[in-house]
Amino acid sequence: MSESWEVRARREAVERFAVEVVGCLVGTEGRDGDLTSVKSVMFSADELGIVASANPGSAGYEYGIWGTETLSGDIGPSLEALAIVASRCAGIAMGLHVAGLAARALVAARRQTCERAAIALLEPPFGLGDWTGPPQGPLDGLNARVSARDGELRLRATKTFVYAVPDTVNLLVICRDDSGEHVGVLVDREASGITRVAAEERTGLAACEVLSVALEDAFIAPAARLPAIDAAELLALYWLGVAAIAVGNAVGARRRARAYASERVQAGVPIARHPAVQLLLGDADLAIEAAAATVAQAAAARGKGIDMLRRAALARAIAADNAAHAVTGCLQVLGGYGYMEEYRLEKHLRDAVCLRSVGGRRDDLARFVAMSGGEESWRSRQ
Amino acid sequence: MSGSTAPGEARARLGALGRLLYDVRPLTLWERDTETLSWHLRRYRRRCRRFAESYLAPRALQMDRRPDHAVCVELFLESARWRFQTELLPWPLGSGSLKAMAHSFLFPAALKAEELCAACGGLGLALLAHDLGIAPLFVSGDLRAILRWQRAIYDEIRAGEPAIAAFAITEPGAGSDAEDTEGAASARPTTVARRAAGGFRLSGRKCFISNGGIARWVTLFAAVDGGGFDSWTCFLLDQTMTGFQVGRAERKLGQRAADASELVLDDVFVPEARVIGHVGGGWAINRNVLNFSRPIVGAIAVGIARGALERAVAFCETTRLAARPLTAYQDIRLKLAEMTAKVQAGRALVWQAVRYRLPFQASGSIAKSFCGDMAWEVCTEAMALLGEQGYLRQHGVEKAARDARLTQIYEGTNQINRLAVFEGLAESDFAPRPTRRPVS
Repeated sequence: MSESWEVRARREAVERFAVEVVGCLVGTEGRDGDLTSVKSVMFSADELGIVASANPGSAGYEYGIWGTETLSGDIGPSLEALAIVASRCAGIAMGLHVAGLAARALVAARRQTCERAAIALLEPPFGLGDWTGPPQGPLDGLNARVSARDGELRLRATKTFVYAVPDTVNLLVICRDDSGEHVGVLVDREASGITRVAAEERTGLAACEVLSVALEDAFIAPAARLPAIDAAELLALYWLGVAAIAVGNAVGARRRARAYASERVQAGVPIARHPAVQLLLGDADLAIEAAAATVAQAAAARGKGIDMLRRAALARAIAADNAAHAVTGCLQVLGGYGYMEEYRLEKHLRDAVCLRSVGGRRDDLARFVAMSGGEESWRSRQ
Repeated sequence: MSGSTAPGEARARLGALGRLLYDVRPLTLWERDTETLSWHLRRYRRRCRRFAESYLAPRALQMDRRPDHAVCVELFLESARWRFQTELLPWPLGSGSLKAMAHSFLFPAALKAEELCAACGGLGLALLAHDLGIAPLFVSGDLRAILRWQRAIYDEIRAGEPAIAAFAITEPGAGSDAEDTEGAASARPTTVARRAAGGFRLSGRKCFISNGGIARWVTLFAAVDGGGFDSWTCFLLDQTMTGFQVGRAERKLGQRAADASELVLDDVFVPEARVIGHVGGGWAINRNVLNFSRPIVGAIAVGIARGALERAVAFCETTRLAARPLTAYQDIRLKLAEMTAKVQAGRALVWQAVRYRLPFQASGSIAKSFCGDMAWEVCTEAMALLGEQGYLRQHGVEKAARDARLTQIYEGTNQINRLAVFEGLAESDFAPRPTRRPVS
């Protein structure tokens, strides 16, 4: 089936944004490029409709990353857009991912706003709170609570590794209410108890901020509480987005490695013709293609009665591991140059190793996958 | 019969001889491995560890954030006071132990490399690169070079001077060529030496030179009179020479505390007396220096991996999940055990490589490539074990991973090293066997 012109046009717009806007930010100077321009990159993303917003008048409301089309339709274009941006900068892609996902949750809760939000879902020590394994699944371990007391709402939440872009105004804190249902609570990003981990203290994803939330019985205005949220779907989409970003990041590394291999000459021929380099590039191809297929399969499974959370956990675990393997192979193609900042392979690698842990440890995801079915993938092929 | 099934208590139910044969002492693997060494090497290993923990570990994170040449020089002088920088010659010319060197030339160097790099891969490299810079003088077998130059450099160091040495082979666009027979056969070195009255005039560039920015002495290789790598000759340069300049310092992914600089030679006059070995003997010196240095890179990798493992264990002991320490969980125990086994395998391989009386191409390359890959695996597994905490600088595990990645690249990429393994064994283990006659 050939794709529609709309899909092609959207992809081309995202590719232009990735090359012309994000590519300029990354450049070749500094460890991660010009991080002072992240805000203007996000402004461009809004203007061009690259990312969703909870404002119906915005360009990305419907077809931006995690726009309203994903509420009932295909999530593939959003994942593809994340991968395209990540091929230039995984940190920016991560920012777009969380901003779009928060906007989607706000729209689903019928909350219209122009203010940017980020999702605060995961909890220490490893993202899944006190979860030590099945039976029910990773959401069991989350402890954040909002409760009504004396006519007021009180929030108790500890969230770590909340990814946000610099112009984020609110955090959408996911917690349980008195009835045990997952709900969202909007908290001002500048509220006391919210701290930031400096970019230079982290390995990668520097274009994206990392926040920690430690709220102990914080007073919340009733209007800040959103109705019930499908936390399982939110977590699944979060994992899938991270998986797509990991794949995109690896694609970017492969692009750079291929370019270098066709230019650098050793023993009278471009190194791309040396079997040792072909093996490195070929291994990267195998890993990337397998990862991309897993993400695509998980995206296609949505709405077909298949356990989406399990599929997303699979995709995150496989894609992030494969992508990191591919990126380190691509770096090896450049030898010593790959290890130097200006060639940017080392940035791809730093981002890749971070993405292996974003949203939970691989082993936790593997144990969840092991205990949550396993026959479904066979059934789905029947 | 009832009682504990724990090994320690079960042992108590054996007779005296049975108890003697059943070792359940709560000793670390490090201590047990140390016990297997000779008295001299045991003492040496403990001294290396004391030095690394006292001087390198406290500076590791800060030097990774903001590399500082002055601190490297200060640490070089301190390590020289501990007699770690003059070890490639025995007493009274240097501080090496003749007994240890006679047994195995490289064993002490491997022990030192592991200990320094367990504390900090970058600072470890900064201190170890000096031996690499000195190695061509020794490996050349040129007594004049040893007695005149190496001895003079060691005398300066013992007098408290920061007479740091660096080894310069890599050229822009010719990294692997300088480390591989096939690549070198067809490549054209760009750093050249032209004969002049009383010596040579050197021009060109060297890049990624460890300690290039702080070294007083540089053993540098250049092609003579427009020749290829077969004309390579080793020269001993010092930074006061006219036309010798330090270019830009590289910004690296890891091992950031160690300087890696470009060296620029603009018609530098080098007197005949500074030729190390023979004119045209540089390629052989270079290849044999790599034989000596590659097992040490293996030891560096083992050290970095061990450092990451130790930090991961500390994290797992202090971090609680659902009110229990992480070490109480089976999946964590499995992972830590797996990582420990990998580090142990790497160390065993390095110790095997340095037990040979003289290093040779295949053993060095096997140790280097295996341990480089192992270190990357262990460090990234340690990061994954810590979850997202793993990529925070404060835990030191992500730094170890960044440091480890370089061990797959320098002293020849691991791909070049694997090819070197084959080449080194081509006439022995991989030699064509005579075809067997079919049984009639």
